[in-house]
Amino acid sequence: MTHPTDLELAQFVDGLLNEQDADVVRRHLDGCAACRALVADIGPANWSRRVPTAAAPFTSGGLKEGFANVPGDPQPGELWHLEWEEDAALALVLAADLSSVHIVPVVVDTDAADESVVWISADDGPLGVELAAWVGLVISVPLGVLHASFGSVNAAAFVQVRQAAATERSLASSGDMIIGGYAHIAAVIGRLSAAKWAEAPAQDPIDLRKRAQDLGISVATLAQGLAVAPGEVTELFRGQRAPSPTEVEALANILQIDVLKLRRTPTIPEDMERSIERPAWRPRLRDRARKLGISEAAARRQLAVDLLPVAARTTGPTRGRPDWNQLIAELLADDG
Amino acid sequence: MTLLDHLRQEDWTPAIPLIDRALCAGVRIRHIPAPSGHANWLEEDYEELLAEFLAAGRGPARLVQLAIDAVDDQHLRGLLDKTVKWFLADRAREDPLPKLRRTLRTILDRMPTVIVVDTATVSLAEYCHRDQWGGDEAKLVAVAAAVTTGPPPWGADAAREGPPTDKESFEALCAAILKAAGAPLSLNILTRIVGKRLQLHRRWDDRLDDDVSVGVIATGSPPVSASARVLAVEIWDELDDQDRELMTYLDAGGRLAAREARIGLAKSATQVRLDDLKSRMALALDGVTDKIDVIRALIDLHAEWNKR
Repeated sequence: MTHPTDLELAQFVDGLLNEQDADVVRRHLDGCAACRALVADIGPANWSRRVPTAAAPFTSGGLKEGFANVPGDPQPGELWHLEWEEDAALALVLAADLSSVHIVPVVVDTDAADESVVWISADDGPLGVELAAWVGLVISVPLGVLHASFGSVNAAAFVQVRQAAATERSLASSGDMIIGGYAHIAAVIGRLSAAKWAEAPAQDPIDLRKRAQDLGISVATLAQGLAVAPGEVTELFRGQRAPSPTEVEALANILQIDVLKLRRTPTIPEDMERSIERPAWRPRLRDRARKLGISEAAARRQLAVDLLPVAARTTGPTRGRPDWNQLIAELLADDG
Repeated sequence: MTLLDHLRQEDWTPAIPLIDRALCAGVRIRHIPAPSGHANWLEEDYEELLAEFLAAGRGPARLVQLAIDAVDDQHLRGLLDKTVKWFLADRAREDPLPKLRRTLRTILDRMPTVIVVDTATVSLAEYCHRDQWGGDEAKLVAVAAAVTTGPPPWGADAAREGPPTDKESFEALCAAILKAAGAPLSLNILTRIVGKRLQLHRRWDDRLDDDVSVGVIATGSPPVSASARVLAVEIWDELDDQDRELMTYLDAGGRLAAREARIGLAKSATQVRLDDLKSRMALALDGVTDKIDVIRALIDLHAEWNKR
């Protein structure tokens, strides 16, 4: 159960929430004795008229730069921000391959840290604050959850973390590791490591040839409507290539089929998936997701579906491996 | 540009008013005492609190962690709420009452006539044996006040720290209170009562602490008497699995029990089962002289059953 914040409860009591938020709090209070007790026992209103004068406490530039720059591919020793759906965390990269990254979770606010962390001093890290690496929690995460790179930690500090992580890993595999204070960060990192693309909706394939025959539409007419050669219509009938987004619209219109039913769910080649997951595409993929009103996971799948016909047209189905990075760049550039 | 965007740009200024309001709300909801014994929080107290939250060391780390962990503004507000609670709890732990509570926990752990139990067991035992003190703390405060093996008088720094005392006087106080209660008490209640005996008044909110789930129960001399064990087994044998699952929710309503006990019944049906179980338990324990021992034996049986 997610409880309202103290601030929301106090504002609710004083009638300072808008109608919609107040309704959410009211419904929560109906079912939560703990929050009802807090509200019933609340102290007198203390909203101040003063403007808080505390100075902004800190600027190192590391955080700002990391979030502003388009990241490259991860390298060992780099500090990365991981983010996927409702989870985010900081991690130090131990090793990276084409599809996954071996990481150690890192925290900044070190209240929960215990003697099993390895400390990285403010001078040795790129954020200008002390870091604690949970070396007992080495895990692999998909490349696609990497979000922003803050640069590398000092080489000596990295070696220390890597060695400690190797020791802790052997402890973990022997079953002797005590989770204890790891619980929160372990849960977040666990969810990040399990991140995956949105599942494609299951649907029965539509027999386009039969549909055209039923409507009395010839191959030549369909080719004209789609602005392609008749041979390509035959390829579409046989499922030898997926229709492009424009062709989907036209097909749906000509064959009087719901456009969503025509968006097929072809198999995504692994190398294409890896390319789409590269951190460099994330900013533009997020823009795409926002524009389409879908999740980032769904946007990735959509990009893959959109890429397949482009690749088929560019290189042909049997003519060499497509350069997915180039095709992704072109397709995302078309988004503006 | 969202608030989270600002934080990720290291532009902390827009977040300061939100942090300030979150601190004010935390102080108000959690009844945090004003610093230095003021009756009410003053403007400068809030200013100091905010400055402390943002102070060098933990302050920047808190803000960076928020910028790292949040995925949107709503998430950020939730995380800030948690961060503020931890911050206030850390400060509160430095108050006399939490210090006293930690001392009591150490003392109680060493007392042979006391067992420390979890909340579920407290719920069971409290329900079955609440008639003696009936939740009326004033009764127990009166008992504590009458204990003659008392702590020494307050020192000159009494407003800030609890008076020094020794293990024997603490044990005498705890034993008297637990005997008068005749039932489990949460460690917080026990601390409040001992605190009143020591003239330490409530200066913080129990709910801010991580350790509220612990209860303590005074017992007779272990082991449990044979007759109590026999009676407990008789009661236990009369219960089916749903009853046993519900035993730890006697104090709770049907809604909570239906959600957590997972007995496959809806809320209203669970409530009916609970009511029935309560009346059967009350009947079974009616007039029993060594109730505490019977309850202890029931707790043991429940624990064994849970392990299975």
